[in-house]
Amino acid sequence: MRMKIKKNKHSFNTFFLQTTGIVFVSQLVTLVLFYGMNLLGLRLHFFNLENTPTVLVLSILFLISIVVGVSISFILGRVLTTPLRRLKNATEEIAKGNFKVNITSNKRSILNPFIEDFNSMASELKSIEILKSDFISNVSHEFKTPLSVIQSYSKVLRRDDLDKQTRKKYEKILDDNIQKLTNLTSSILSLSKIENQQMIADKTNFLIDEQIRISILSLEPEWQAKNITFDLDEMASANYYGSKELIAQVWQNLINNAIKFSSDGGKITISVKKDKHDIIVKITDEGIGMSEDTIKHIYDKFYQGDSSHSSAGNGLGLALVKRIITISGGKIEVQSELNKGSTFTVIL
Amino acid sequence: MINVLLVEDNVDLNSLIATELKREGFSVFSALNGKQAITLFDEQRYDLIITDLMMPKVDGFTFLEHVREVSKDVPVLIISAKSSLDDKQRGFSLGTDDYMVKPVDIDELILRVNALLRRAKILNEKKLVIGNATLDYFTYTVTIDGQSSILPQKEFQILFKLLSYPNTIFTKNQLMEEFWDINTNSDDMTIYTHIHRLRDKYATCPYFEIVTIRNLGYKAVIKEL
Repeated sequence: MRMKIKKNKHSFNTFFLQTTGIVFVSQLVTLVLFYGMNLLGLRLHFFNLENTPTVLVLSILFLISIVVGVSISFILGRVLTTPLRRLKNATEEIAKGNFKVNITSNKRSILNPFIEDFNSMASELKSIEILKSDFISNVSHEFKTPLSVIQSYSKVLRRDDLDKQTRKKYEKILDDNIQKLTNLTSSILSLSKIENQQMIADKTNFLIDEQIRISILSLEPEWQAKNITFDLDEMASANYYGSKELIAQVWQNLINNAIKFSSDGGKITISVKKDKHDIIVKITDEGIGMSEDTIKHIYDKFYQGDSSHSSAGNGLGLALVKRIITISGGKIEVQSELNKGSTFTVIL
Repeated sequence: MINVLLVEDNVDLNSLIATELKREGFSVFSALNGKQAITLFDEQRYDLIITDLMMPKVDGFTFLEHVREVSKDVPVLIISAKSSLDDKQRGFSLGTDDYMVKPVDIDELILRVNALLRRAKILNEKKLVIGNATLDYFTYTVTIDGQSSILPQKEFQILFKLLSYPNTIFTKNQLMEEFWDINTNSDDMTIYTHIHRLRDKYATCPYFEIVTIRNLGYKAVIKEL
């Protein structure tokens, strides 16, 4: 996750100058004090150059100057090191995993830019941790739900006194939930793998249009069952250099959604066009569409906009698609109108 | 008697699949790991091998390599929890004929087993029979209700492929990759022409027909009599 860290080069130079300045000043002060006291002593006739042992006087003056000089350096040093020490302690806390640290700083302190950066780093880490624990609790809920259904129905099915129809119904529910768990497991695995990737490792050359065709073929049972037709008139041949496996998942998820949300006998239009360096793929369905509210959340993990279809899916499909497209350097856009349909545009 | 070698380290799963296969009429030999599998494989001939990948002692990939060293033709079906494209590619390049990702639907497994055996039989005999139509791979001859005709090589190959996988759609690219050289001068139109000729020739055939799905591909449909 990229953290927003201010450009602090300028501030560091200032810090350096100021430190040097302080050291220089304290040395100067020591010297000035030394000579000053000498002059003062002479002026005030505490001693004069003839009768007092010079060495003794000079030594005393020297000693006093050093003590004062050191004291000044010490005090000035504390000004510097206190925030540094606080920074060090706070960093140790972060290293231990405690992201709740926050350093208060005097706005005029020379370490202020560092302290501000540190605080923003700590808060980013804290928010990542929150996201992670939210994800884990969401995942655990998503697993528990079908599992508890499976447990209950499996128990009921052990009864001898169920009529055939009811038994068949319960068995189907069992199968559906087991399938749901299976899909959830692979989706989460895919998503985890992808979340840890910043860039694509294995890239090959392949045809986008052919990949889409293969994806459509693999979903044949689903669209045959709903009598859905495909309009593929505008599929140009487009060569792409990228991750074959990941991009295939994009089509699989988008086309599967288009089928899922289309009504019986509906039409799905897919077009592939080339535009300078980009490949533009549009997948349009004539299904139930989405409200503006839903559109805002479609890429959120586990979000399912339409409650009637939510039992079949798990809300992770589009999160996965978005992530894959992002790390492939592409863009995804959606247009949708309730009850008219949706168009997903992928630009690679 | 059809002999099936089943290699799966999970005892419950192994037992379930074995029982179902026996119900289908097959003779099943079970191995719980790769080492046992190699021992059993070397003892006799099998008509089909079903194997897991992640197993103790010797893993599925190593077992598959051994199998292919001995027999290029025996059909192999991998069932594995490993679902990535890389794993599948490795499996296919080592010579598996089909790949199912766990958890497997036992009914789907049986369907695929039957399809693999059917195809193996076709490949063995190089003959395809559909109703009263017979295709002979050695002579590129198609015989329908007693009437024989010899087809040009590519046409026959495409027809044979489509009929070997009835009701399965193949894209132009897939057919080109299979039957044409990578350096070929032929293009999309060539496939189009071949398919057109096939469709015309067998438009009145009572046993099967070639169907074009617009912009997607082609398939052979077996006609119900």
